[in-house]
Amino acid sequence: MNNAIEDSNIDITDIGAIYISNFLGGPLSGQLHLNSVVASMLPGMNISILRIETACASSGVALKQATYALSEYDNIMVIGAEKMTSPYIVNQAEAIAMASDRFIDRPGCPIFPAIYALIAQQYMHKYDIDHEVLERVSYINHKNANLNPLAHFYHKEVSMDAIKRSPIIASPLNLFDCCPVSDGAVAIIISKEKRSDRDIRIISSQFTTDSISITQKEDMTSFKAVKLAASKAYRESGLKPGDINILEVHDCYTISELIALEDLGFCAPGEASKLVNNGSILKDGMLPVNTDGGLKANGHPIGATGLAQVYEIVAQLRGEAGHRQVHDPRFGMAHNIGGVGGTASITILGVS
Amino acid sequence: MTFHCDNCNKDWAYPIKKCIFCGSNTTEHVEKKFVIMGCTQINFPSKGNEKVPYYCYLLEDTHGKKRVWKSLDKYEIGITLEIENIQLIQVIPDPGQPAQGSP
Repeated sequence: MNNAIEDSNIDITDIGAIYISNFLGGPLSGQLHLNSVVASMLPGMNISILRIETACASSGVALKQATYALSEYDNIMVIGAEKMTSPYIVNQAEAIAMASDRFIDRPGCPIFPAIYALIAQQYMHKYDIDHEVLERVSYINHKNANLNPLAHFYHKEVSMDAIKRSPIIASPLNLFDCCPVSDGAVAIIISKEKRSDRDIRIISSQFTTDSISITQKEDMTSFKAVKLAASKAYRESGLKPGDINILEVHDCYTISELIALEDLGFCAPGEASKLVNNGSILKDGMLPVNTDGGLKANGHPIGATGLAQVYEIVAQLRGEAGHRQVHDPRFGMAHNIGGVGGTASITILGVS
Repeated sequence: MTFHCDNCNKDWAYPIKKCIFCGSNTTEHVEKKFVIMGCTQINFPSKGNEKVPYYCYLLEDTHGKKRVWKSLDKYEIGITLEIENIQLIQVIPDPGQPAQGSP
């Protein structure tokens, strides 16, 4: 919060409302009523503060809700925060599984890696790709994270050999197909009026929903909510996939990155592996993806993840991304999903 | 178990007795036979799932309705299982292939 206030040159007393995104405060830390917790950090302000929870898509959705509130407030702070590594009330795997259907999915697929493993298996069979593509996705994200001082894996180099030799968690997914359990927090400020040349414009922010259960998915290799949200965002922005210069996708598992590239329209179904194999998604490629390391290696502090993606795109569009800066991006997109596509948030940002 | 509105051709995986779109009563379908469409072997334990490896199966009935099912036993993709609630009743052999796995 302090960093966002300093960066924006907006006085904290000029913030009209706050949206706080968090998923696991209840089951892990035994703390809900987070809006009031945030109010306690701002004694005497007594402003509107609201907690948003839509599983892993919480902060993308919080940003969307905040944009609605700009009709009433000049400046709004959006916070994403998650503390996942402290002593917990409900263990982490069980708590994270609360993003899946309790009665339909969890008795048969008790943990998220199992759900995404089934999706990966269907995808790999349908499009005849092998695990090597997923290993490459993991490797690229880890290389990017080594350039990001805020990344979970900043100081840890992960070789292709280590990825290949890592233990199978839920076949066909191994350890390095899965994002880590991370702590993290992000705060951004959005304003009605442009205040400086460093400001980045939110060109579109959309979110849609779909059934929570994996068993209700029409297609196991695509997320309908993502397609719908992306379609709305492209329509509102007047942009098309080819206009996007930098992309942040929700790679909670490596397979999710392939599916995202297809659902967002950057390639046809089944073609994402080509973008991985031909270098398009590298930092200096045609479409740099997850320059911060993605969920895979930057980390996935659930309630903060969508805003961390927005933070990275803003840094890139401002030309302030340091060693991971891509060449002159104009438009960026963040793709943030909850569960197995039960919620999808798409944000398009651009140089103002 | 699914609930279906014949009028709107919509399905629910929950016990929804009345269609919210048209107000018609829904029909409950209980299917016991499922083909294994996918399988993942889980190698690390979690609370309530301490014994590993175990297997999570993606199953599909003759109407294309899916469900997921956990078992400590390994079955091959493509075979048919008869399941009631979460209990395996029998492995239905493919006429051209012997049944695999243990019920």
